[in-house]
Amino acid sequence: MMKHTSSWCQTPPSVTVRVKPNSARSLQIRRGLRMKRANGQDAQGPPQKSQSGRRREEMHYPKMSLPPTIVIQRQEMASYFRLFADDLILDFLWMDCCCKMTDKYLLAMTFVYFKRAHFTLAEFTRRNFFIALYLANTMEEDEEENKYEIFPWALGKNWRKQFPRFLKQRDKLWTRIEYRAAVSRRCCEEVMAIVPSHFVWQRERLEHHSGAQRQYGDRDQAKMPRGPTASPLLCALCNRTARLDQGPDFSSSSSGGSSGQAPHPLPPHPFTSTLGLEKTPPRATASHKKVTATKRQAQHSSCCCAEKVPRDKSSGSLHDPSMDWIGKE
Amino acid sequence: MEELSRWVREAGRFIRRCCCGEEEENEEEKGRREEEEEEEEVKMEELSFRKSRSSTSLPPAESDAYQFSSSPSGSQPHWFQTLQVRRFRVQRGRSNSDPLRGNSQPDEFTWKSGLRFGTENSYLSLEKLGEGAYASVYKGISRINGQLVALKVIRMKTEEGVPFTAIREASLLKGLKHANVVLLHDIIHTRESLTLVFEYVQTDLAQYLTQHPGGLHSHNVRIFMFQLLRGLCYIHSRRILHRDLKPQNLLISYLGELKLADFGLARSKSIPSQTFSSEVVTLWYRPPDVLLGSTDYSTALDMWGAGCVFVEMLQGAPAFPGVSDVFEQLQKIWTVVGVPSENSWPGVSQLPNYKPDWFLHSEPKQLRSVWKRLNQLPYKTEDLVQRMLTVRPADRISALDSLKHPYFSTLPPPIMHLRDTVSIFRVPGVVLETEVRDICNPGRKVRPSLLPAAKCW
Repeated sequence: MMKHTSSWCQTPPSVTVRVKPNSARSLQIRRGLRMKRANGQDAQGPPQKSQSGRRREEMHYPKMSLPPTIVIQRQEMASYFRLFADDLILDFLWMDCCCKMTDKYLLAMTFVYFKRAHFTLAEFTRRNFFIALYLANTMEEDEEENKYEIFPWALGKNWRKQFPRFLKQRDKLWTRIEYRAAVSRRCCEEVMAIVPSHFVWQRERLEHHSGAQRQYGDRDQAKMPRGPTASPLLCALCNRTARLDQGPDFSSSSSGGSSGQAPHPLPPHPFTSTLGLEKTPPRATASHKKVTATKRQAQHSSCCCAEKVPRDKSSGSLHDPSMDWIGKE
Repeated sequence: MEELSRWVREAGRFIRRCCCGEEEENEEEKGRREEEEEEEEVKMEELSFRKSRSSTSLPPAESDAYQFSSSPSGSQPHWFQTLQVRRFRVQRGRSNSDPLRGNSQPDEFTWKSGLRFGTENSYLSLEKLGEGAYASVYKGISRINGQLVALKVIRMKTEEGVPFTAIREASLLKGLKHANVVLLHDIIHTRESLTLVFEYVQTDLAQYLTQHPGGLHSHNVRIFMFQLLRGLCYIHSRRILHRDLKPQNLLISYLGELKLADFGLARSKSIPSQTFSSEVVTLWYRPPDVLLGSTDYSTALDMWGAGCVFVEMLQGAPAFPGVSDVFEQLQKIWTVVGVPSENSWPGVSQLPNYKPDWFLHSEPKQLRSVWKRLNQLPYKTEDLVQRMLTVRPADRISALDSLKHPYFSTLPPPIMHLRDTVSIFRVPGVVLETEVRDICNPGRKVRPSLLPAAKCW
């Protein structure tokens, strides 16, 4: 972790990306702007961020007319990516090989919720990840049952007893983001554009898993969450399809070195053959994934900065450990 | 009036005292104490109520004034009940005009009372307007600024938390500000319930249709349709599908402003490849492609519903009514537009519910032969209906294009260039005509509800 943090310190201090406001909702825009904080304040740690954020909003609300931005601190993006080094989350993503609840858009929304909730870095936790992901699924997916699979992963064996509390926490998060759970595609894409080659942004859902697909819902009558202890079900529709194509795509998009050794961080095909197993994949695999993921982050931090234009001088000098990534409708 | 305004001035002072020393914080709305004592509560209640009434500058005998009486009832244990509502309205609907709508002043007016948004005691609930599957709707009044509001109170089941419909509705509406979309003022989230606070709109199209049976005045149909399509154009441009268009969900104000409401089934279609439900839209208003089981639908979904509403306003009866399942519904549609074939709709035979042998053969008919009212109207009316009720979704007219249709060319041109939040009734010359038939006033030509309105606004 240290390694990549230091490499990020050499990046240009700040980046501002303005997004044309046309497609955006005005309220969000204005709020977004106000999330931009002086770096000094950030360094002290953000006490009651959501409160102070709101206060500022109310004061400036009528005057704001600038284009929409949210400022994404580099540590925030890094902390978010660090979640994907968590073995449990990695296994969870791997299990959802059809990307039914963890496709790239839902994962980007999850991050946007973290931002809108003004989470401190310490709050970039596995638990909050699952809560925000559940909220993203609530907003976007009409297929209600897929997201229940999140329960056993987030709550463990006792999930049946604990899920009401989990849902309360989702509601709390919803309140904390000021009930703004709608995230536009554009906003998601801006977030993904920060480190476009990160493996989570390669998680495309295939067409046969989208749309109004009620027909094959009965293929699996008992749609009980399976959880981490059971192996994922074989998906007849996805079985050995497009996943293979993603390998080359991925390595070409990442610059240089790692592409050669890039075993897909979520390698579905080695495991699709072992779908009969009752156990989760061995830990060793997971930690291997972790290493690659981390390396990749370090690498992309610089390339992503290179392609962006530093514009906002207020964000500080070269020593400033933060960098503003902006992507928002 | 004199006395009333003096009373109000005193009331203002009283309230400032109540919330001692918190004036500086009014702007930031921070550090408010959560609860006030019960007794004070009751007093504030009356104050806010009277204040709100006074701020309307209505003469005391005005239509609105008789709606409430401010006599607090001691027998009621809960402060919500301290205001009694006398229910001798003749027409539910447009008679109980919102005191603040259309007035030039009220928006600037705010109470220095220390009440803030997001808390329960900032609203006073007056009477129940309706009961839904998961929510009750009350008419209420904001103690912050005296505006009438509609309070949609969603009960929360302990297990499930906030229903996803409410999460979507509130999240989507938070981003929508348009004269033809109901305005979400505030959200109150407590342990037991979630309350969405909306602007109060007097009636809805279903009630309006009931009140004026046999079809609406063609001029009014045009005005309502324009607003419906303007609202749809706005939400569609933000990639939001309403998915439940029907007269009940189209609110109508006393002026004739139409507002899209009930976004419980609505969703954003901005992000590609998410899952969609095919169980959307009340059957009668559901488009044939969705009935046929199409796995992908988009904004054209709402356009079909809008077309059905169009016919319903003209005819005074639903376009495709009275059926209970998907196949009957399809058959109803086919009897008007004909059974589609691969020629007329490439790919239709691939749709799951396309069973040509189940459908009785029928040829497309002239719409004016099915819906007689179209006979009496210029051809362009039928043409627009035809374009909206096109079976193949890709060929169906969009909301944006329909606004440019010649059907609307008789409306004053400035109507096309309004800012989102401006009502079309701000354009000179745009007024609702008196409906010919009115079940509440069979002998009268002029709707009484419009008379006071004309005086005041």
